[in-house]
Amino acid sequence: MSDPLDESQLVNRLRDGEEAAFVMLVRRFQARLYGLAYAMTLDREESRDIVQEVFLKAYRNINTFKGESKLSTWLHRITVNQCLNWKRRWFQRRRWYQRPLAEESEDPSAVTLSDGNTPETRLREEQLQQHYMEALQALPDKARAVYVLKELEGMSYDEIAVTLRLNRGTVSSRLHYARKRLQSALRDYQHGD
Amino acid sequence: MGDDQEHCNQEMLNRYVDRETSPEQMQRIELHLQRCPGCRQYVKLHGELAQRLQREVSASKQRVDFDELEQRIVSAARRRSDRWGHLREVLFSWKLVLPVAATAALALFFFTSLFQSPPPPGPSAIINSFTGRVSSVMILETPQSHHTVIWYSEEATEGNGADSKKL
Ligand SMILES: [Zn+2]
Repeated sequence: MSDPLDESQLVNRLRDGEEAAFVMLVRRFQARLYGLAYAMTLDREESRDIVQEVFLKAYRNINTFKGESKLSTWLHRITVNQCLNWKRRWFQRRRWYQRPLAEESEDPSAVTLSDGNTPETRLREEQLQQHYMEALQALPDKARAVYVLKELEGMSYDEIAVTLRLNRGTVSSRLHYARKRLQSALRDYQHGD
Repeated sequence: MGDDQEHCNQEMLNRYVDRETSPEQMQRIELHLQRCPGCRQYVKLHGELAQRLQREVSASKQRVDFDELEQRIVSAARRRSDRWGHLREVLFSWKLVLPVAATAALALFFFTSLFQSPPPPGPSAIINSFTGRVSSVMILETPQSHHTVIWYSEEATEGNGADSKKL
């Protein structure tokens, strides 16, 4: 299916309840929203469920979308909120990030950042990745949301502020807090330059 | 952090990393970075962590079948929309509204008469009802009052007429 609609056309057709427009919406945004949900939860299955729920909510509430922000901003906001709701249940179940080693070795993108590829380097890499993911998960929700929108989505402070309905100063301080926490959690893995 | 403690400003450093500084601030920070290994390390670390996060997410995306996810989402939307549509149809159809209204009237009648003091002598209510193809009639009588309740039955319409292109 071609996707020639601009945003306002797409929104209008969604408001008319057109299934084709809904399919376009899903096709256009699902991978990006999945990425955001995954960065927030680090759980593939939950992220798929979250993305599904985000689209159902967006479809049901399309009339509340006033077009003051971009459609993507609105969808990102719903996704973050959905992740935070999900997180509460998920946290209660005490599910922690565990990357299966078998999966790790099949992962074509598992390229190390460090030079060399000795078993020691690789082990250190995996440990660092594991610690980083754990530290990310341990961040308070609000700080993590800002951090992910910045580091994954590359949003500006203003874009994050609009997405999360915060002011710029709060975005800046939450990001600072998140980075400080991560830095201190990964202190043992840092080497001088 | 670093050897130049009084000039290390992590919040400013973050804004530098995020390109949220003015050109003058950027110059000042770059100058500071030249002589502060701690701040250099901070900038480097967070650049690397951002890359790690992006790699982690992109690796996870590669394992997702987005065609399948799309189908799943669209089917769920259809199901939910059907359910709501059906519920709305039932809730607002005269077929339900009329009998419910009649039952509510009956219930109201019985409860008010139950709590009225004292119960009148003789028969408390005489109920006659007739049901035809088009309408039903119910007559209630007490020594004090007389009620007639009428409701109409609609023929069930075949199919729900929903446009298959609408959710
Ligand atoms: Zn410094």
